[in-house]
Amino acid sequence: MNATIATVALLLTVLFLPSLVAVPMVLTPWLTDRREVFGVTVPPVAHRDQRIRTLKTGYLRAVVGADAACVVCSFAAWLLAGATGALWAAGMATVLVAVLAVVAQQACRRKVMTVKRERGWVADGDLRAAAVAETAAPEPLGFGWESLQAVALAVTTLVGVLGYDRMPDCVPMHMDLAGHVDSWAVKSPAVIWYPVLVQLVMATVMVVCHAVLLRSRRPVDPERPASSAYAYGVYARAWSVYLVVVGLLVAAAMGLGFQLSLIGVVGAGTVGVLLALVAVVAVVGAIGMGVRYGQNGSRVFDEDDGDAAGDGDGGGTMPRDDDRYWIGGVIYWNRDDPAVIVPKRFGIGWTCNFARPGAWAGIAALLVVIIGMPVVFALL
Amino acid sequence: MIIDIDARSDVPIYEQLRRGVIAGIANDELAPGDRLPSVRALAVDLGVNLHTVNKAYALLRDDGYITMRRGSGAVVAERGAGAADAPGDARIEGELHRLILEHKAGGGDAAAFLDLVRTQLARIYGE
Repeated sequence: MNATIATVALLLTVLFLPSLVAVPMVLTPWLTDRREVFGVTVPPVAHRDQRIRTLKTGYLRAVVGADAACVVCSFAAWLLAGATGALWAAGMATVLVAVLAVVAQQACRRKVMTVKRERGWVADGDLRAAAVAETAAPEPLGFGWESLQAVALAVTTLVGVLGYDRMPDCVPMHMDLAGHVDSWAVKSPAVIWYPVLVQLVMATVMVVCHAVLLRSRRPVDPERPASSAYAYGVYARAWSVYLVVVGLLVAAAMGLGFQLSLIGVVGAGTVGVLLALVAVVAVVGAIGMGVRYGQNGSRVFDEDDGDAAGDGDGGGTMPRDDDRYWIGGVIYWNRDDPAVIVPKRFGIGWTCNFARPGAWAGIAALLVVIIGMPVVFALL
Repeated sequence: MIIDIDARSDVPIYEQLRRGVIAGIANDELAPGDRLPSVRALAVDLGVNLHTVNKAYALLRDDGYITMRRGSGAVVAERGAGAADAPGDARIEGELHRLILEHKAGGGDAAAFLDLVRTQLARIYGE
């Protein structure tokens, strides 16, 4: 890994890291369910309201501006404090952009609630709908597909076993961005299990994501039951495919790549570049999926906001208003709801019902696995 | 098939679910052998208590509209299965009695009630 590649990698990190966070957050207001805006339940006609449109563009400008400022600051840090300074700045900038986007969303949410009151958007009832028996809607890929992760783990183990003889006596374990290896381990049979452990943790995270998707409530819009159920089915299936494919790709790239570098077949620098590429593919793919399908499949069918098929009143009604269960419009808390996993409001994907202990248990278990790995590494 | 409920209605949710499934069977949207969602899945999808869905399924099973087997869950029963007639008919007679009482108390006569019946029969059986 020579100086030019390191410079390019640094440049890309500085440029893209905050933007990778900013882009999906900026796009979100246009990707949400048609009955939500900035985490507030609204009738679909709200998306054509002038004040709401102004809020959306205002939010976009705020987050894009914050991102641009962060990138500039990271460059400045690079000039003043070199590579280390630039990396620190890029890291902090990423967190800052996320925080600023959340603050902007909260501000927009309060304004939307004011508009909602003034326009008199009120739900008369509490209408809900669900699909029963076989419907035309596609189903997500089943959990059985995750057994492919076991196959990938076996491959990584096998590569380690077969390549053990090639392993040098001093095994490089970690490399910094300049290409210098800064951590070593003494060759022993235990070393081939490190990549397997890393891959196992990564695979666990992806498997849990798949399980979350499968356990979620399946939302149905009572005013457009058949088409909303179908759209959600398309969306959930697409994301299940993404989780299986990208999940395998990421876990296998990390484990196998690490293993190949340990046994000396592939250089650690090459593996680093490969992993960065995989990460970019995963993130760009996710953003693309979000734009293509929208939240809950809101973009599966091309239709005007509030101009839904058979909706004579132009989408001005709300079958239900559950704002009171959404803290800040983003955190779901509802004791009376048996669902542990529900679709997000402001964002793509799923979130927990934090009033259910099962959600906390799941999060705690996941954290133990994710945090446990580096701890175990450090101890070994 | 889609089931609708109104959580703010005076009609209890389990009763709305029961009526929804029965309507589905009557309209041929649910065929014998169709599998209904598990109690948990339907409760989660609608955001209602598990006991509510349990009660609805229990009532439907007692009236013979669905069968419940360990492992395969709730399945729409064959039409005209023995158990369906007796409790179902008793309930229908009881509700008819109540409705006709209301109609009479409101000043209606028998002929008017029969007209109402014919209208609904036409809607459902499409004659």
